[in-house]
Amino acid sequence: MKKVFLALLAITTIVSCKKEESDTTRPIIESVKVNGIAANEHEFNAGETFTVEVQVSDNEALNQLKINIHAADDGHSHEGESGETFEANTGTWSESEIVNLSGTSSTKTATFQIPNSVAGHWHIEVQLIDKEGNEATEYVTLIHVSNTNLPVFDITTNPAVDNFEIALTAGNSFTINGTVSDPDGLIDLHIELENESSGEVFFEYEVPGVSGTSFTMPEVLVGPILQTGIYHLHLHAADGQGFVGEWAVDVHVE
Amino acid sequence: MTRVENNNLSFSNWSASSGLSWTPRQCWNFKLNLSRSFRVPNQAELFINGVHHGTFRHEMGDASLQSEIGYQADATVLYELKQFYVKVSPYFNYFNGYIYLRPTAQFSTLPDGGQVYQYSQHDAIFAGSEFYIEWHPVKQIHMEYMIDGVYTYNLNTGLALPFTPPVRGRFQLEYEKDFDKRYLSEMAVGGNYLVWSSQNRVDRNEHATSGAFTVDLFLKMEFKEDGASLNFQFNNIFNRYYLNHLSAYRALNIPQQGRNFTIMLNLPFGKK
Repeated sequence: MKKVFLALLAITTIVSCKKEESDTTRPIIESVKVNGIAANEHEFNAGETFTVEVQVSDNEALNQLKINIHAADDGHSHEGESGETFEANTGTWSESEIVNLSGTSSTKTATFQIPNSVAGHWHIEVQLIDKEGNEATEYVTLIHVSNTNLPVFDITTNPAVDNFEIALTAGNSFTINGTVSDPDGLIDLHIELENESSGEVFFEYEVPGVSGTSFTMPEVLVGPILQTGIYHLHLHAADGQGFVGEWAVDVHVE
Repeated sequence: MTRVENNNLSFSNWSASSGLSWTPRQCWNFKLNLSRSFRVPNQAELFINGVHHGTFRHEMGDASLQSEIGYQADATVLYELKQFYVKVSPYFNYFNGYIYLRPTAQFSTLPDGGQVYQYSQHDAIFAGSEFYIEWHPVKQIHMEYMIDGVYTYNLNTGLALPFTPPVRGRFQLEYEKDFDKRYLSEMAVGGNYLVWSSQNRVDRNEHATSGAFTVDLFLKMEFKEDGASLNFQFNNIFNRYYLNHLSAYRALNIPQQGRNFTIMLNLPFGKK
């Protein structure tokens, strides 16, 4: 028995000596500069263009670099801990760019333009792999987009919004009142109620007579809603410069 | 976008095993088993294509995978006396076409996907041993010690396979007393000392995990009435921070539970 075990052990040892270990050294993201500045957070205005300059290295051979920009308003983080929570973003924006690399060091620059109609917080996530598939420790930086061009909403509903939600009993209706203002002059106000599970638009209304820098909308009645479920209520207001602002809440029908 | 092509696959294979047991004297027993086994690739390994939101990786199947075939040899040496018991069981497995997730060195084009990991198969070795010893110096005292370790080797990469357990050991001490009271029939109190070595033999991109230990205490009570029992379990009493190398959360640096306490009441009913 002992001999069998020793024999097995011997086989294991022989096999272990057979092959040279392959390259497991991770590549390195040396620096990430946004508009030439390395920082944990960057401030921008909507519509601006910025550059992301990434300097990378590897002991043997670099392969690919990925830069992606995704919404960070939900408070997620990239290293196990929970991140900072922010107000919901206005508008959606995401970018994803894969760059092929070679050699042991490289500097790549990518240019991104922030859409005109977004505001809030996004992450710039930089990932790197070498030819063997070794992954670098990723780099994440936060960007805060301000948008003074967007129309400003002052909306009240009945029943009132509680915790980003309007609660309703099936068969009932709700009303929307309020004022939208923008120094560039308002040209359009659109209301939409969409069923979350089916994607079906339950209610759609183009508010008539939208004009001026401050527009008070007439009361809008939505309903009665018979089917239970979660609905998304969106108000979109456009100004004379083409900036579209959004006001959104969930409607929970029970 | 088609994520998976239409496939019609069929697999067939065979398995067999044989064993030998020899008891030269009453206290000694020797066992040897040899076997060949197979495992058909599962649906995920064949067809998955997308970001796995548990592992945060873009995982991809491979419809050309073949059955994984294993050749196993394991032995057991057992020595048993009235107050003493020892068992050593070494094993050696050779896998022909072991299926595992391998990095492809290509990024996923999906916005939230990192590197694509694809199911691949290569020959691999799993070898290790378990050692178990039990000793009762007096009838009421139970002591046991267990240690096991695994060595894995991927013959293609020359690296360890992913999720290779570290060497781990457990020492248990228990004091047990029989009662002749009206309700209580048996009571036991004891503790476990659990220890894990660090695991530095890891696959590509897998994190090494440092060693750790925890101490658990327990109190068990058995009642005469219908075999009811009440157990108190105090785990990780020193509130040690440690990572489990085999946990999917390891990659996110999420540790195991801190100090925790469990009460278990077992009440059988419908039994005469």
